[in-house]
Amino acid sequence: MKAALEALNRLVADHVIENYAIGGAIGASFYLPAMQTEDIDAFVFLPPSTELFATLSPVYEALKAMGGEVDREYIRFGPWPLQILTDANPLIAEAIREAVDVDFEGTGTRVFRPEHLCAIALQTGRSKDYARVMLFLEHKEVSLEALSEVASRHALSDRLTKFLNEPWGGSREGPR
Amino acid sequence: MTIGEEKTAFNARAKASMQEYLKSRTWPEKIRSIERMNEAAKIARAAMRKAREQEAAQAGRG
Repeated sequence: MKAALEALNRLVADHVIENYAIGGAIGASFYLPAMQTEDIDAFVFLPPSTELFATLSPVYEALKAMGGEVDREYIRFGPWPLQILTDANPLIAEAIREAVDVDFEGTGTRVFRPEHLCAIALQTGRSKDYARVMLFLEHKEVSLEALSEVASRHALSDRLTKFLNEPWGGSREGPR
Repeated sequence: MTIGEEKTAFNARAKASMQEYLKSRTWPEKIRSIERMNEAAKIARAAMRKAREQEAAQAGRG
């Protein structure tokens, strides 16, 4: 995974992206026990562009030049497929902006804060996402106050309330 | 305490202790354990695929 993180750092140094942060299960595993996942989700800010639609092509090209191998929608570094995702909504943009600086075997990187990982999981809304929020709460790795504030800023308060009252919403798919 | 209650309490203690142990690992250690899980899953998938192919081949001969 170190190679993928080094590649992401180089993208920032080379101004191919403005910044990035790790989310998803790999980000969550910074706070929680290891959980099964097969890819790294890197959320990126692209530099301002004059194009109508931002494209990830320069990012993929730069990663390929650094030794990454294209594998479907991923760029593989060793055993790890890296998925590049953009700041698709204000919640993700805030999560990238407020991510915490951490160290991975001497390589600096950035990881989403727990409240953002949980809010994004609530927004995504699959069973595995709700399970992850439950783990954060069970392990007391997220402040309910901080999560409530993020949820309130991003119109997720109702979803959070439903989740807290009935985590599975009476169905396997979680609260809607 | 009944045997059932004792077993439940023991399991709860074992689970809590395992979770505490897993949580105490550093991030790189956790990532390495995910890599091992993925490697094990890959081996298991390959073994299952081979078993299915062998079954299909036997069914074809039979």
